[in-house]
Formats: sequence, structure tokens, C-alpha cells
Amino acid sequence: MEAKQALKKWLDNQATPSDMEVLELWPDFDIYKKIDAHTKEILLPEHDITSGIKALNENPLFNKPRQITPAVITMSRLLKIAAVFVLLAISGVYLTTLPTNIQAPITSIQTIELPDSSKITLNENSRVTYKKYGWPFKREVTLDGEAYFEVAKGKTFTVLTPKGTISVLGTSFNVKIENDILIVSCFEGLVSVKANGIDTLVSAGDSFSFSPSLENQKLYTSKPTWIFNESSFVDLPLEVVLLEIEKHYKVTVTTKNIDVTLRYTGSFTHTNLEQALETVTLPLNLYFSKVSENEVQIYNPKKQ
Amino acid sequence: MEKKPNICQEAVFNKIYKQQVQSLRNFMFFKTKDTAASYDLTQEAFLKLWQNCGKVSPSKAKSYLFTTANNLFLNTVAHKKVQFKFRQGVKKSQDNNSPEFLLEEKEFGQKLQKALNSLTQLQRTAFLLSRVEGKKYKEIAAIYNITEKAAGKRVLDALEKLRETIENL
Repeated sequence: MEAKQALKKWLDNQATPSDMEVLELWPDFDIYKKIDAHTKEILLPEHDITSGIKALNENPLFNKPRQITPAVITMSRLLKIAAVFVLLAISGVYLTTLPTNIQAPITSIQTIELPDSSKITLNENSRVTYKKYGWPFKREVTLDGEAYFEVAKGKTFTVLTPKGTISVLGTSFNVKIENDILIVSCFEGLVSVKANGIDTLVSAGDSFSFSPSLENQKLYTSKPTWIFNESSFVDLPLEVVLLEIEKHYKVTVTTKNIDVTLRYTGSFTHTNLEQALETVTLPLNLYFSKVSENEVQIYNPKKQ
Repeated sequence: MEKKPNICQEAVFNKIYKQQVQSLRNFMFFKTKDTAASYDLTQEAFLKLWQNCGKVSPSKAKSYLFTTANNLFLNTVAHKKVQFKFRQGVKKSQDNNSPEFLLEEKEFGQKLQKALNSLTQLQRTAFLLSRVEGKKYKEIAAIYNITEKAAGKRVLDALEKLRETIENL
């Protein structure tokens, strides 16, 4: 029994020297030792670690762990989306502030249709600037020269000029800046003009000259005459009319025996020099003759 | 940001493979007595470990591997009639290499082979784990989830059965 306990300990590699003494004196121990020695000679398969791991990696069931970057991917995707929106917002803001610049040719008038179907008729050699894409938010036009505005009903419509600001709600009016003088003519509705620090209301049928001395004139047409290629005058000295003819037809007008302070009311066409001269001279009982290609003389035959 | 070692990390898995594969392979070999079968079972056990890497902590990897391999072995049917092979002529002492002695050694080897085949799979594996692997009863008990005493009895029973068989041959 003692031997068996020792044998058991020996099998567990726990045998003490005194256990070994007991076992060595036990005749049966020989065969156990022999069995043990022979058993230890069993040929074990040698497991190749490298090829084993390789075989595992090639097994389709051996799924590689997913890359631990999905959070980063979604983050960058979110950033991309955000970037697109930021770009859209920036381009939107940029577009609404993008000015549209329109300049009428030197020798003809031009009509501009605004996004809200308001209309601007630009006189020769005039220029307007407005924000096409920002139009629904702010109706504002910068003007240099002369233009006739037909404003559709809506928010305040503002015309900025170097000489003053004109604001309306829905009306037709003409704005002219000539020789640093702002002239606002209202054909329909009511126009508010802020110039030289003064707030003035121009009602339909009135034309205000915002020169140092405020002048008011009456209008007799429903639209400015230049729109129909005409120049019109209301009780103005003849010399002013003749200067206008010179300007439009690029001719030199000379006078003979004429009082150039004669008052003239009427209009002349821009398309035919002879007709224009006739409409101006006939009512005043004056005559004209062409001296050369670029020179016209106006005279009074009765005052030879 | 030191991460806890996780078997899902390939480096950790490979380290466990290096540490445990040979003893697991031997365990499977003792059970199957077959080189190829023991290889397949060992590899399969590691594959299972990988697939469950998130559920098994590195400290539990060893017992998981042995349990899994044991279950995989139980699932395999009908084992081939194979025998263990022994290294030839080892352990012959200098002064004792007479032809008679060599013959006797050879005969004993053959007897031992037969005796090992007569053991139950459980007895054989426990005995070989103890003798060849040098595992303590405690370790064997852990593999089979039995008490240390039961493991010791299994090894001792195996040894006595071997002796009995060899003497009766």
C-alpha cells in the first residue's frame, strides 16, 4: 500500500527521495519503470508553427478582423457632406452678392428685364449694376447716366446714384444724372428722393432737378420721350434745344439773327436730322440750312 | 492608450498558437494515434478559438482549446486502426546492448503498443499526458474537468492495466 502511494506520487512527478527508496525496493517497480521509459519514446508529430498559422490564414473560415476604422470613415464621410453644404452655402452667398453690370451702347438704348419683371430702359451710354441672384432679397440698382424704370409691385425698389437715392414701391419713373445734376421724373405713383440731405417726394407728372436750387417741372408725356428716340423740352431756352441737337446728331449748329433765349416747348426725333430741325424751327418761325455735312445754320429770314 | 490583449488581435492569437499548439497537437495525437487526424483537429480547435476570439479571454485560451479539441475529437467517428511508433533503439545502455537485450527491447515495444491499444481512450490519453508530456495530475484534471484525485487514479489505472496486458502477452 505504501508502494502504491509512492507509485502514484512518482507518476505525478512528486516522488520524494524516501518515496523513491520504497519504490526501488519494490520488485514490481521494474516493469513500471520499463513501461514508462518505453512510453516516453513514442514518436510525436512535430507541429510546424509557421505552416500551421499560414494554413489557418488561408482557411476561408478564418476571417480577418475588420479594420477598426469604420468610425473614422463615417467621420470623414460626414465631413465630406458638411463640406458640400458649406460650399453650396458659400456659392449661394457669393451668387447673391454677384453684381450684374449692364452698360448700354454709346448710340442706342437698351431694355433690361429684371428677375421680378420690373423693367429698366437704359439711355445711351448709361450703366446699371444690380445683383441678379440676390434680387428676391433686395431690389437695388446702381445707376450712372439716365434710365427709365417701370417697377413691378413688391418690396422697396431702390436706385442708387452718385447724387442721391431714389426709393419706390411700384411705379414708373425716370432718373437722369447730367452735369452732376440729378433729375427725377415720376410718371406713375410716388417716388421718394434723398439727395443733398433732403428728402423729397416726387408725385406723378412732376420732374425734379436736384441742382443747388430745386426746380420742379411738369411732365406732359406718359413716358420719357427719349424712350421713343425723342428729346423733349418744356419751356426751355432755344440754345439748350440746339445743344441737344448737336449732341445727338454730332453736328455743329450755328445761329444768325436769332434770339437764343426764345422759349421752346416740344420734342425732336433722334432718327432724322432734317425732321428734328423742322420740328424745332417751324413753331418759332425760323429756317435752317445745311452749310456742310456736319454744320447746320439756323436763321431768321425776316431779320436779314 | 494601451489596449487589453485580445485574442482578436492577430499578434495575440499567433502568440497563443506558438505557446499551445504542440501540447494540443500531442493531446490530439494521444487520442487519435494518428498524425494527420491530430493535425486537423488541432488546427480546427484554433480556428474555433479565432471565431470566438471576442468571447474568450487570453487566460482562458488554453482550456478553451483543449475542451474544444476534445469535443471535436468526440464528434469524429470511427478511428482508423493505427498504432504509436517508437524511436528505435534509444535508451539502450552502453553495457547492455547484446542481441538478446535488443530483441527483448523490441519485443517489449511491440507488447507496449498492443497494451496501449487495449486501454480506453480516456485512460490512454491521461497516461500519455502524464508520461510523455510530463503533465501533473492537476493539469490533466483541468483538461478533463475532473478532480485531481480522479486524474491520478486514471493514470495509475492505465499503468496497471498496461502492466497486466504486457505480462499476459
